[in-house]
Amino acid sequence: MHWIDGQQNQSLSSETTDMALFVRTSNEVLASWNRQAIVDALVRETFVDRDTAEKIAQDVEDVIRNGNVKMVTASLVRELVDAKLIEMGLEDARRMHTRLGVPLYDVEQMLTMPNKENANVPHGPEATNLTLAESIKKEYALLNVFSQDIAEAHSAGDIHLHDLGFIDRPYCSGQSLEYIKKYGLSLPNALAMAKPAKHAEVLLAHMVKFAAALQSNFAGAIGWDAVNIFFAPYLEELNDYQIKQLAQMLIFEFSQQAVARGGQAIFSDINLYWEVPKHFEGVPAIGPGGKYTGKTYADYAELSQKFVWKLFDVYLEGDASGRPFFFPKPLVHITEKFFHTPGHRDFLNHICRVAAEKGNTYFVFDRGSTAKISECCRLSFKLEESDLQDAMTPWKMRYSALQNVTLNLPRLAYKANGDDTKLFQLISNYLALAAKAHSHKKNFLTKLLDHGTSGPLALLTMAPDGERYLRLDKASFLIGMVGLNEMVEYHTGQQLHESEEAIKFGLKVIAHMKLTGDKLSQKEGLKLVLEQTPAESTAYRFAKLDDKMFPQSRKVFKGNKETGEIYYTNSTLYNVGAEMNPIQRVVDEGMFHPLINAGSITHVWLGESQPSPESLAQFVVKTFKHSKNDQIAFSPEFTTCLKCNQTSRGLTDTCAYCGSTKVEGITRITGYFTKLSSWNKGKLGELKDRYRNSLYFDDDEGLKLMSAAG
Amino acid sequence: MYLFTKPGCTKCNEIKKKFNIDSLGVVEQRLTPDNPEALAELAFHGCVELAERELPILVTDDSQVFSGAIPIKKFLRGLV
Repeated sequence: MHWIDGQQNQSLSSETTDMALFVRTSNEVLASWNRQAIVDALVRETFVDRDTAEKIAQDVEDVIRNGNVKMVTASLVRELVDAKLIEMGLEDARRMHTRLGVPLYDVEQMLTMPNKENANVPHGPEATNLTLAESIKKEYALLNVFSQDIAEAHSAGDIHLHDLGFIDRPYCSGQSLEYIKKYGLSLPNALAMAKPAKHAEVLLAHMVKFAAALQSNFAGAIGWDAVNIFFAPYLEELNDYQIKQLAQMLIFEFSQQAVARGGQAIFSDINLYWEVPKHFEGVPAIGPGGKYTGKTYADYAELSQKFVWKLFDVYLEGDASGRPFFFPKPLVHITEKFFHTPGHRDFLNHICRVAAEKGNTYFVFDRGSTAKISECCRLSFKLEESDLQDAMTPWKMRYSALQNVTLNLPRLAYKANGDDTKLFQLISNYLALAAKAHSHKKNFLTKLLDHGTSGPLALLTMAPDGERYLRLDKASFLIGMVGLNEMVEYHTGQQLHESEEAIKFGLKVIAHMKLTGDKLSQKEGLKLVLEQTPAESTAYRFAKLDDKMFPQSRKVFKGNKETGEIYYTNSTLYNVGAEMNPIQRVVDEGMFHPLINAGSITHVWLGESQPSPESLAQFVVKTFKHSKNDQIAFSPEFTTCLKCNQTSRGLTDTCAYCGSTKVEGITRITGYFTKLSSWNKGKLGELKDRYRNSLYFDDDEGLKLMSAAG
Repeated sequence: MYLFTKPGCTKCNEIKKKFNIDSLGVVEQRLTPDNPEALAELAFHGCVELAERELPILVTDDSQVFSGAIPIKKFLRGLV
């Protein structure tokens, strides 16, 4: 009898290299059976006393001998020991002794079948590595980072802890180019250090590489502030052709980066302005070589406008097949100053042409004195007074959300069973649980960050400006919500779009979440903020779990129960299938946005319609002036042919050009474009239900109807 | 009609002192950390950002919005 894999003999060392090597070579090494190894592991990893450990080891040895097991593996021994611990009522010890791993069947599935939890993960060996690593880190997080009540609430679907597979990194990051313009690309553990860029192409190369480095240290989106403005000092020597070339390089570099973590394109956002926003007007500009140019950014207005125009020229052309670029997402900020800046009408028409033809443009509304940096599917960091002071040293403007925890709102309605007091009490309880989960994650990350530049998060602790890259004191902790519409429907009998009472009840729920979140922020010393959860997979996961555990959910969840394509409506959005005037939807959904500080969006699904740029421009101006909506995006649908590589409007089963059936659909899944083949069942159900607004966008009559509502 | 106020707001108190708001059909909505209903009503009328800058706010039955003591006093005087 032999014991394959001598992992039990390993003592905990300061690094895991030896262990990994040993495990890897274990197929060739057949270590002799050693009962003492079991005893040592139990004593080292749990609080079990030596006598008990020896008894367990003896019992396990007997089982193996009597069972005539031909091949004993470390995992089998551990399973037998764990079974013994349960038998003896030593549950805590069993938990501490757990082996994290993946069943053979699951590995087989992962290697052969795509993972549809995130449509931005392709299928390939790198993606499999990512999924395998994530599955182990998820288990670790639930066992070792969060307390049992939180882990159970997540597993049961009361709450959703996002990105558990990335437990050892923050959620997302927003920054400006100024950091790399000033300090170059000198990353901890890098093989070569680069001085500040002297040429625009080099700055772009630094930006792309830094984004990839950040992707390795954050779970989600990497956002860049005022990209066209901060690039401008590098464009002085370039002619129009070269500026267009640079714009093209930027977009292709980010959209073709499916070679980074897990084969995943970097979820990248570029914040763009037509005007130079007030908080950057008087800021000294940094130019080639990281040196001040002697001008302010206001002096670069013309060049930054030229660059942003060219960027949208590229978006309008699309990729080689005429498809929209999936990344980087262009977020155009519409401010009060925008409307007073010469050329804004032409620019608005230009970006609306892109919105109509390709759908790329996101319109972010910064009304009054609001300033923000946006990223991810809808996340935004509102700049406070101290942030605006940081604008004078823009490399310091680095913002991060550490984690996102989402509440399953419809389930709370099932539990409350029509009782208002109980419902609001449950919301408070789960918000407190979410705050506790944030506190656990913060403590865990702090422990990792304390290892400094020799630790796993070295990049986040580099401090060329005297402050760690990750400004933990400024970090936000996101609280999201899924299925407000279904919660209100179950509790009041009406959906959000069906009555004023339903809207007011929905607003009361979100107002309660905001006020309770504010109180918990003070109590826990964390900056807790509400965000509309994109819920790409959470809306499906919650609905599926409720289908099993709360049969009453079938009255309200959306989609098709027969095909399993069920889902809850994202966040505070209205029923995607409700036949509403799009202006009305933007106004009504916008009522919720001022209560949700960390970002909201309204989607206007276009389907096959292709409105004129002028009509979309009117729509955008109306939204800015007559609603409180935070952000809107227009989403057309496309079919791209895998045979002839041509792209046509609308979702069809065959290619409009060559008739091939080898086609791929493309549209927005949540806050970004992607291929339908990577969508989960819930999202496919939602796609079928989406109201396409063709009545309003197909002809002049529709526009009149829309204007009447506006 | 709704009058949005908050505790410790001098201008809000001034309006309440000067007018018998109940008799004018004005319902006071006090914006406090324990009153989500008031905040929800404020959001319904699209005045959350305005309230961050200025209070009191009066929203009439036909959705006219007045903010600050002087415009509100002027409007309420017209009702007396």
